[in-house]
Amino acid sequence: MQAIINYLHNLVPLELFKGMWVTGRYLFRRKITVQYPEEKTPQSHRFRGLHALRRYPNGEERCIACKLCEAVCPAVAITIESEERADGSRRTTRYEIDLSKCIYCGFCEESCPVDSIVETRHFEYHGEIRDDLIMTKEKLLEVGDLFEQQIAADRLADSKYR
Amino acid sequence: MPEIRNMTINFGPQHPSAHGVLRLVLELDGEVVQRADPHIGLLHRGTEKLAESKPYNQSIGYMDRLDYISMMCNEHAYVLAIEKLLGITPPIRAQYIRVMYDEMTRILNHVFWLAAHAADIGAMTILLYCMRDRENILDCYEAVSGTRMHATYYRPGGVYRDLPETMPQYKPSEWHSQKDVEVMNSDRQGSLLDFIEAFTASFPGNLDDYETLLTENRIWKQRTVDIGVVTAERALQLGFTGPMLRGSGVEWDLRKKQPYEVYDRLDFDIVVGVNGDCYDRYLVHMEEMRQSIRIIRQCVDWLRANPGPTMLGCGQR
Repeated sequence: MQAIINYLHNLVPLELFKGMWVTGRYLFRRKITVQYPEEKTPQSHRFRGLHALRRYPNGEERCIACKLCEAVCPAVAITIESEERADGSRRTTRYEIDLSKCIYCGFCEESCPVDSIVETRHFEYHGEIRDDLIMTKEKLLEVGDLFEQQIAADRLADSKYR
Repeated sequence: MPEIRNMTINFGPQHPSAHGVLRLVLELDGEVVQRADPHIGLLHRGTEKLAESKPYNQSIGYMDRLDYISMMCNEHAYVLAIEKLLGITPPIRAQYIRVMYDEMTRILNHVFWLAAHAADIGAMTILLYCMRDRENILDCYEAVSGTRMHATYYRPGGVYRDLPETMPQYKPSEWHSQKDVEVMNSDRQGSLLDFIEAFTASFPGNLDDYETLLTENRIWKQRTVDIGVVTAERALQLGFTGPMLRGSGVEWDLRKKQPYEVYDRLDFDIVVGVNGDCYDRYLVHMEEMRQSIRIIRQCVDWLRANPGPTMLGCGQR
């Protein structure tokens, strides 16, 4: 008797139909596909993307060339040279991040005492030659000016966890 | 009579570990492997050499990249070693957060394993379903650390920052109306812990779906039952660990045998197989995910009830 049941069981692929039922149900479910790049998945305010250098509201750059970020960078992607400016303050003359070395760990941002170097939410960038991926001080400040509103809002949203 | 020669081929890609991490040159006599020539160091990336010349904390980010589908577990091992050297114990809340994220990482890892394994054996649907579940966990990763994969979240003495109280939300678009978006955001109304709890509620149902698709499936069974049998003795000789060892029937789990962090306070079972074949290892992986869900639920409950510092020392919350 058991042999007959086993035989019938082998003959009728019942478990395959059960599987088809599972996949079939998905035809009528709500679709979860996100149509990137027109649509985007939600992004956390802690997101670590492209770097930026920030300014104070009066237009003065925040960076004081303390070189903590240069020291903490695990990938040695940051190069800084500094000089005394005419008004006696220490400022960078060169601030470069090599994006092809950077591992986006966020340590530079954490180490910064004046919230100058930050990682923005921007992640869709590319370079056609290697030089494009070396962020000079001018480029970094430009990114900072462009995203300042969002950068400030994200820092505010996360302020109580810092 | 033509001469019959053995065939020499590259191993893979019908194996989860053959996607770029292991190279074997196999000599086959029909379907029987006669000789295997492993190319040791295919995935060598010089992490040890990099870590040699750096302060300890700077290597955390590199640990994520050792096994890039179970990121936080690698960090955890490294950070625990530093803490042992320093003789410090992180705050209890940080320990619970770590354990919770370890278990989420375990699911992340097993789900990816299932996806690749099933796709290689011929069940393409599973891959797509599993990626959907991974997406939820990666969102949890992003919410705490800011990165979807290489988190650098565990630090010696605690974790980077406490769990956020809000979750980012979907926005309406051409493809998703306001009504759709409301459904998609329904899990994201509260804190991260609420989101994780919603995940623990929905994920076992998805696991049941996968089991319906695979466990009794005759094609799946033909390709896994009695394949790659490793006896318990042989497994120990070869130095197996994790689900591979447990699949062979050895009840060995560091979480129970040498508990670290808060595993000794949590209630879960060690999953073991019987025959040590591919199918048993599959069953072990599936049940381990259910056990992980159990652990995550306990952690969520504890973390809700017990706010506190997540990092040792100076002024950090």
